[in-house]
Amino acid sequence: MRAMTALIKREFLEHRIAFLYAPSLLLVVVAAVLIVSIASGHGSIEQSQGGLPISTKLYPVAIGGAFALWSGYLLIGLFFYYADSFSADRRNNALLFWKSMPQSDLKVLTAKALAGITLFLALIFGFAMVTAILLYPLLVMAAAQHPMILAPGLGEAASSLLQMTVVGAAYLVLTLLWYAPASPGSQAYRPSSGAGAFRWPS
Amino acid sequence: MTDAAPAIARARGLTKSYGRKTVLRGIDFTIPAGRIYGLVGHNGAGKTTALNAMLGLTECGGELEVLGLQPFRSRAKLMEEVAFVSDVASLPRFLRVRQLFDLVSDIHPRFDREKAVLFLQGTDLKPELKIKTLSKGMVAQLHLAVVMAIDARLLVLDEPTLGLDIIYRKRFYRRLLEDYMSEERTILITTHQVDEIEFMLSDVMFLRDGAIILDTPTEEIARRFAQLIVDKERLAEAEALAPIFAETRFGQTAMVFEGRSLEELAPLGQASTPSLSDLFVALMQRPSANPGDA
Repeated sequence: MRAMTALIKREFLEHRIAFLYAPSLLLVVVAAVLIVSIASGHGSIEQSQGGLPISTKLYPVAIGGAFALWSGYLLIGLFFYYADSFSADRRNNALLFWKSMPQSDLKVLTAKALAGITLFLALIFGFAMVTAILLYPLLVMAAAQHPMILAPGLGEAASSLLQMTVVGAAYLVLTLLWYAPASPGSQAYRPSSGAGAFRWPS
Repeated sequence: MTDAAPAIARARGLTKSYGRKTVLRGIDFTIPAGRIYGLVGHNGAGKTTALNAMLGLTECGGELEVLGLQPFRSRAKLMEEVAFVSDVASLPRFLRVRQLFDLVSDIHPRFDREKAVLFLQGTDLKPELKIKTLSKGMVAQLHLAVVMAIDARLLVLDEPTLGLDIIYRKRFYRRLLEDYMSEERTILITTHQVDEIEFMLSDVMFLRDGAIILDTPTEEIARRFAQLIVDKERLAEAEALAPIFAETRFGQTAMVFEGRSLEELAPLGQASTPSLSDLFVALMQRPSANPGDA
């Protein structure tokens, strides 16, 4: 277990740019742009076509949007992670170093696979959560700018956040399962190219 | 060679082919414990293939046992007691020195972190340095510190000092001898710079075209082989003694003999024991790949 944890930690250290630094930067930049945009009064909000009060649906919709965007980021990140991580060691000559360690190839491959569906999933889920939380003050700021928007109260926002988080987490997991490499038995039903057709190195 | 010593590695009829190219032609060897073996051969002789087979990195025909295990089937288990440094191996560039030690501590049960830190004392290698910023010499030093901190019974070094300057190379081998070698440990080294490691080798194995042409303790070499810088007027007499190799350089003829004593050759010129590199060149030029009892 100690070795497996260390191998997963190794994956994090090797790919922290894609799954920690880049999302952090993205989050800061998008938040800054939104804050500046709202504070400066730019951006127009029009009455919704159906005439429904915006405040009743805007926050949950925004959270859902955030989860959808982050799951897109996760899928792209994992695609490149899985496509690259099994050959990167060979390319940068570190393969022989890892082979000199008393860990089986299966264990190393399992650590790589697990890192993607546990650690990196958890990190991106964390970013989605932070985004969802940050959306609330942004919505309050927007409401101050645009009287037609009624920001939800704290209790209502927390309830929306909780519900959408559960839905978002389920969505992220299901998305991952949907795009996960097929088992050998079901390989015949998978397309011959794309993320679903990933092949483990021999 | 001490026959009573337990064998660290044993190969019988080891073969390996890549397509039509045969790299190992059924070689046999036994490596006892507590020895420093030099595996010497020209490019493409099969040195790295033989080492890879011993490390479980490639599958070969024939019988091969290292520490009682079949390397290819039990690589992970074998690596608990075998450490290796390869010329093409590089440490993970995304780690810092400290992180590398942390990681190896967690995945190698016989790695002693304190020992590794101790080996780096007095060097420019600091814990927070990123490996990707280190020079090639510093990476070699770090790699050596890692493998020396592993309580391994067999250390395999495949051209470990390739590309390093002479100072690093000397330091590398000195540390290996002073801080690592013991009676329980065995070191197997391949290098093209044979003269630099000659002083530390207890045994030598020459490979030519996938076959072993010499496998002997280094102390045997002085008994078995002799080199002669022949006086010009005694050339015919020297040739009559059937040298296994002769070469004329700058007007001087140097010959290598097998089974002739220095006393027997001394009247014909300057007789001495050949260096490993001279002997290697001599045996590489020999028509028969498996002369004598090699």
